[in-house]
Amino acid sequence: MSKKNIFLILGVVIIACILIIVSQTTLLGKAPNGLVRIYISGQLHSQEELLMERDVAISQPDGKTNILHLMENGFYMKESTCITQQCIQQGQVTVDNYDKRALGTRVICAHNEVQVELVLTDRTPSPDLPDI
Amino acid sequence: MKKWICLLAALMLACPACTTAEEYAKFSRVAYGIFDTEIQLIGYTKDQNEFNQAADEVMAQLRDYHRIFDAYNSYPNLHNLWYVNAHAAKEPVEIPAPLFDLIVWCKEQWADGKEGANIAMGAVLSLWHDFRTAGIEDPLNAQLPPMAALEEAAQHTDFSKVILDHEKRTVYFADPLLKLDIGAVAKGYAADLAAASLMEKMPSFLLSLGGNVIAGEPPRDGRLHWGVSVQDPDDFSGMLEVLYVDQLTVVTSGDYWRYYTVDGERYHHIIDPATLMPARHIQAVTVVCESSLLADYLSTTLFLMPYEEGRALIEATEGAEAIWSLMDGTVLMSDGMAKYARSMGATSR
Ligand SMILES: [Zn+2]
Repeated sequence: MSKKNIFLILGVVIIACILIIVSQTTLLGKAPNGLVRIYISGQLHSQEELLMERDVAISQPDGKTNILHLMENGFYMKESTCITQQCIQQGQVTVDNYDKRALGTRVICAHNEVQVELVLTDRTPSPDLPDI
Repeated sequence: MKKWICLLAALMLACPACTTAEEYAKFSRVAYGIFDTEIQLIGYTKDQNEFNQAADEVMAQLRDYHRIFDAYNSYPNLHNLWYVNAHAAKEPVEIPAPLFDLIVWCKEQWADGKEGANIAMGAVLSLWHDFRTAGIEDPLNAQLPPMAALEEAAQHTDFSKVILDHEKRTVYFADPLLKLDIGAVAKGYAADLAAASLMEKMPSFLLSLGGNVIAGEPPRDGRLHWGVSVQDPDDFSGMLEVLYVDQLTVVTSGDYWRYYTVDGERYHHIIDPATLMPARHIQAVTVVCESSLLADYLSTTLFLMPYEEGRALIEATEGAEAIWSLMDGTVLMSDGMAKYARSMGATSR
C-alpha cells in the first residue's frame, strides 16, 4: 500500500468521524428537552416539543376533552372530562422523575382513551427502567 | 480497485451503526375498552408488519374472551356469563369452552376446601356493583348497599349449587337467586390464553390487562428480563417496586383500582365474604407465578386475608411469590420474591 493511499484512508476516517460527531451534537443542540406524543385510541394524534410553558387541548368529536399542560421539562394533565379524574392524579412527568413513576414516561386517561408520552431526545434511558 | 476496497473498509470502520443493523425492534400497542381496562402489548419482532399481525390477532382474541366473560351485556347467539346468570336457573345452559373450563377450575379450588375468592358470590357482588356504579355517576348521592340486602344475597352463594355437566358442557344453578361473578379470575385466564397464542406468533412479548401482566420470552435487545413496575398504593403515580421477570405473570389486587366514595370514605371492589364489606386487611398485594389465572385468584385471595395468613398460604404454594403493602405503609415480600425485586438487587440483565 502506498503512502498516498494510507493518507487517503486516514483522511476519510477522520472526516467521517468529524461528520458523525458534528451531526450528533447539532441534533442535540437543536432538540428541546424532549417531545410529547399524544395518542388517541392508540393512534398518534399529535406531537409537541417541550420548549415553553403552555396548555394544549386534546378535543375529540364526541366531546371528550383533556387539557394538557406542557412545561419546559415535562407535562401533566390539567383538566379532563373523564369520570375518574385518574389522569390528573397521575401527576407530573418530567425529565427528572420519569424513572421513579409507575407509569414511567406516560399519563393515561383510560376513559377518554388518551395517552400522553414523554419522549426523551437527549439521553438513552437505563435498561433497568420498567417496560410497563 | 484495491484503493476503493480500502476506502470502503475505512468508511465501514468509521460508521459502526451502518454495519450493526438491529435484527429485532420493539413495538407496542395500547387498546381500550376490552375487559373495561387498558390493554397494552409490547413485543420484539423483525418488523412492524409482523408485530401488527400478532397484535391484531391477540386483540381480537381478547375481545372474544371479553364478550364470553361479560356479566353485564348480552351478544347475539352467545351464551356468555350474562346469559348464564339470566338463564341457568331455569335450565342447563351450554356454554363456550373457555367459560366452562374457568368455572370448573374455580369449583375445583373451592371443592379442595382452600380459602379464597368464591365466584358464586355474584348476588352479593352485583349489589355492590350497582351501588358503586350509581355512586360514581352521582357522587353526591352515593350510598352503601343496605346490610339486610347484602345478608339476603349472601344466602345464595353456595358453589355446590352450581351444577356442571362435563359431557354436555352445561351449567345449571340449583339456586334460582345464585349468580356467578368471575371478575377475580377472568382477566387472568384471558391473559393465559392470549399468552399461549402469542408464544407461537411473537414469543418475546409483554402483555398487560390492567393489573394483570404476563411476560413471554426475554426482550430481544440484550436484556434477560422484562421490567414490570408495581404501583405504590399511596401514590397513584409512584412506584413501589420493579420486578424483573420472563415467562412469568405479575398480578396486583389493590384497594385503589376500583372504588367509590360514600360520606368521604372509600369503598373498593374486593368484598370479604365474611363481612360482606370491602376487605380491609392490606392495601395491596402483588403475586408472581407462572399462571396468570392462579396469580389472579391468589392475589384476590391474599387480599381477603391478614398478612400472616397470606404469607403462610404463599409459602405453601409452590412457584408463587408475593409482595404485600400493609395498611400502615409497610412493604413485605416472600423470600423467593427477592430474586425478581429491584430493591433486593435484581436487574434486567
Ligand atoms: Zn382521565
